[in-house]
Amino acid sequence: MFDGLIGFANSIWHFARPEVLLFALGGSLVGLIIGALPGLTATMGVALMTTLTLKLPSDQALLILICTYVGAIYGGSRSAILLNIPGTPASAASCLDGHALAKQGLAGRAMGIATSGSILGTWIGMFFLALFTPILGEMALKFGAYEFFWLAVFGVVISGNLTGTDPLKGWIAGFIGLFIAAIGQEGMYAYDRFTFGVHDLSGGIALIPALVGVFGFAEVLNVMKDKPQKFIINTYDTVIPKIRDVLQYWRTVIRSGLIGTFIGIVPGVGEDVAAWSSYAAARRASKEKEKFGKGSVEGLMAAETGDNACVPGAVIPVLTLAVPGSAPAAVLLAAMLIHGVRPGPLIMVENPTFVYDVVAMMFFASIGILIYGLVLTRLLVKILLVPRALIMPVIFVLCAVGSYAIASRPFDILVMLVFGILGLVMRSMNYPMAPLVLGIVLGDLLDKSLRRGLSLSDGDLTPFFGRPIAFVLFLLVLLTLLMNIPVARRVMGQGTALLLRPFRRA
Amino acid sequence: MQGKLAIRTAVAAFVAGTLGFVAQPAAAQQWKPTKPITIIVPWAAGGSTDQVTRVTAAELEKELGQKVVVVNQPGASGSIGTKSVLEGSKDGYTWAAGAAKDVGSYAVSGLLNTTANDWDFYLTVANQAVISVNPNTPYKSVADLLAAMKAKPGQVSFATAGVNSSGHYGSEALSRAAGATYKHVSYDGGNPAVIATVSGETEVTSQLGVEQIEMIRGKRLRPLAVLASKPLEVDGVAPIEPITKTLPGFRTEANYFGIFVPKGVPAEVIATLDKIWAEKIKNNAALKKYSAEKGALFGPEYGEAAKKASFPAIQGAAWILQEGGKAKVSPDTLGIPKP
Amino acid sequence: MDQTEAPPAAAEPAVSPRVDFWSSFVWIALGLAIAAISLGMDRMERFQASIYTAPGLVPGLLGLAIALMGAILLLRAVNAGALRPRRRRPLVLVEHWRLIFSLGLSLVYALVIVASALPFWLVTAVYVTTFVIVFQYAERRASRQVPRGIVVALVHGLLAGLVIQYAFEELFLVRLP
Repeated sequence: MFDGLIGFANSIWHFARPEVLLFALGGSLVGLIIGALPGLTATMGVALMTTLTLKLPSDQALLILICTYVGAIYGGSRSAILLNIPGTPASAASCLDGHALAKQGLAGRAMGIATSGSILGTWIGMFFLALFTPILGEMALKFGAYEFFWLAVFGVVISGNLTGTDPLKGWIAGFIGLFIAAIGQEGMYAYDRFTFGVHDLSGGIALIPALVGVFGFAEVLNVMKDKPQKFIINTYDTVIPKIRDVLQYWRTVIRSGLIGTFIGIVPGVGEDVAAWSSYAAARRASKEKEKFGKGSVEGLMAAETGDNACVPGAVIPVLTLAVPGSAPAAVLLAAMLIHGVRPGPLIMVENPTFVYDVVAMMFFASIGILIYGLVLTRLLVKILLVPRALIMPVIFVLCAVGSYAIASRPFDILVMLVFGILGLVMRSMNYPMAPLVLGIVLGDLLDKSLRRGLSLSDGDLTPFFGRPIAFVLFLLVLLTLLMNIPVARRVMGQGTALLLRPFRRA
Repeated sequence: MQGKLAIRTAVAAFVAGTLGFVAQPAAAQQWKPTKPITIIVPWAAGGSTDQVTRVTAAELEKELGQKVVVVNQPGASGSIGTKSVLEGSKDGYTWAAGAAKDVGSYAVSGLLNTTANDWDFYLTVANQAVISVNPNTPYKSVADLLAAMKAKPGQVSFATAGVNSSGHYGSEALSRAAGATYKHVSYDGGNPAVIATVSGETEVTSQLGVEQIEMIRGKRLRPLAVLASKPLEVDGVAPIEPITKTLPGFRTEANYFGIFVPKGVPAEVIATLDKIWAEKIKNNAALKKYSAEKGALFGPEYGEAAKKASFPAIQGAAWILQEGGKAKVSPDTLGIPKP
Repeated sequence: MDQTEAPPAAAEPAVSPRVDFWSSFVWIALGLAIAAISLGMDRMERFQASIYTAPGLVPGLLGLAIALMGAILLLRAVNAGALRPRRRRPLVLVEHWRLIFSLGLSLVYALVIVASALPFWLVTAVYVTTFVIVFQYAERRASRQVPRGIVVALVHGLLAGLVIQYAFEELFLVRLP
């Protein structure tokens, strides 16, 4: 325990030099900007900075990369709150309550909540990274095909249940998303599914263009189709994060931090699932469930704490197993290798100080968030006052460039346009778009896990229910579904809360 | 006014051209990139191609004095990213990366109409597949494993990165050489396949050494053999014995990775890269260190030598596709004879 | 969209059961089509693969699930009165000019940057300027500021084009279409 603290203090001291701190602030700012621009994601930001920092000493380069990563996940909430467009997939859950708060004239307060949530989430994740890395890294190995299958189903079911007012439509959207992920070459035999001979489709529908389409382009059209409205900014709105919000919802913060870290450790699922899971758990436990989706402080806090806690969580298996817990963590792993760090089971033996260095880097990133949260918010709130007719065409240009930037494929711009129109039509019929996007994220995992699981067990279904983690996830899915059937809901009542408790503490 | 300007420009160009030519004929071959160069990695970030390409890009940056940006464009077994380089502008600023055997066999699988002749190869390392087992399994040697595969046909599980992967190629070659069958389980990539074996979901993995080496070092995997004719020696690990010790007739070939420049780019790009490979990459410390630590073979080949070195792997991959019934075009018709 | 009777439970944007009624047909048809195509997919038997790894397995199940949920939606819509006769509201395109114009202009812009060789900043500047002028015209005319509005739009468009091009090409090292 004390080893951890001393190691952390040493690492902080090691980095405490002016030029290094400047790098940290620079990295966080680049991350924040990239995260806030629709289409440019944390993965792309970290990859870009890897290229730009090649010549720096390895510890400084990695510091910048981690600051970029943390900053990008935080930055996504800016556009989610101000424009109802998640800057990265991780912020889709923050749109629900964040933008609702902004519409009530409380954009500054919403950004303050996101700032404090992000910092606390990072700290909770850091705590586990510093003290329990060797033990928690092993947890990633507990997830096999059966657990991944249920995790994917769980993600789509909770997200469908939470967004909008109509779970059935949420689930339809989620399953359409899962189907969209099946388009293109599948991963086992490289067999083309639903491509109808179009080569571009063999690569599948990429997530980012689809995300930018259904949220970005569709939102541009959605705003422009109505007569311009003036946004109000309440006089009692404040840009300083409120300590009271944190104290009042400390249970939510800790619960979301734990869930986020845990989801981060699990390979293959990242910040988006972390945000949704925290949000779902917060709503389940909340005394003010009816406020969720209409500007709940608690909901926004949960989503933002969850996705940022996921970042240190995702780094844990990178260090101990060289297995990335999320997509940006994969690039981070590549960068560590370039800079001569060898993550793996021996890292605690060969290079123990490195783990604490990473914790210190996360800490500096959280300081970066704090500074920008305090300094930039007042400026960002002004965006709401700019007429929509000026902002929206620029957003659309960014949507087009952002979809193209990831892989330089013109096809991706086409995908963005098609999904934008699809998104507009489906939204006008009250189908939420977040489950659709999460479905695209999780579809591949669901597909391969189910097939791999069945082939490992030779068609036997018992491992899907017999293994402890798989069984818990299955129960969660079942309960979420039953809660939406009125009769079942009445019967279960209090019992549900009792059953969910072990997972929340997990 | 305009005419004057045009004349002036023409004169200036002429003078500059002649001066350049007269002053230093050799300088005409020296390529000075004026904007960042993009290397398209047609696989996801963090994988074995991505890692070695990023190391190489960092080294090339020093030589070329210009940013070398790595862009991941995954999909369709690497054919989408490769296609965009092949069909993109031939100004010499966009290159592809990957395994030579993939570029050489896309035409066979029908994924992309290209062969090794459409590219100049600049190879960096050769990777070898290693047969490793979970330490809790009873298999202590290749002989044990083969005996189990024969005793329980189709029951011993092998983790690989899918049917097109080097790992699957290894497991197929092993089972055919031994006349046994196994249960093939495919994963999203080399790393997940290795992790599945570490966690015990599968018993054996036949992925590349680079992807397993940290786990072998950490004693989370027990290596049985490297699919090569020489033992694999890596820092911090006892030498891994070659498969040919147990199966003397086993055909092995080096699986080269590198950078591929499409034919049709300006001649000075090729001349400059040839020069960098001949003079710098040949003794490059960073790539040597990468190879020694990760269990790869350093293989800085270019030009005809690169084509020759990588041909056996292309041949092997093409014919595995043909025999597995996955070929759209027979390798024979593409000038790839049966090994 | 529709101002007919509010659906019973839903509190948010009122969607008439009739819309659900028709969309449910789309889902049922799509789900069944997915399932049918999946059934016809290669089962990869020549690799001695088990039937559980067939590429069509998961999409097939997904297709059936989508069709099933579509059927539930259909029943719900019928219960909510989708089949009750209703006054038809004629579709007046002019009422939707804002949507049609922004959609059309954006599509044209996207096609032009992909397909033509014109410089990115120029196309972007033209697009943004046109967008701003058109959507601010009514407001500007009301306050008698049309020329001022055009100047603002021009400056805004040029700035957007140049800044975005600079930021992406020079700072983010991304190639533009």
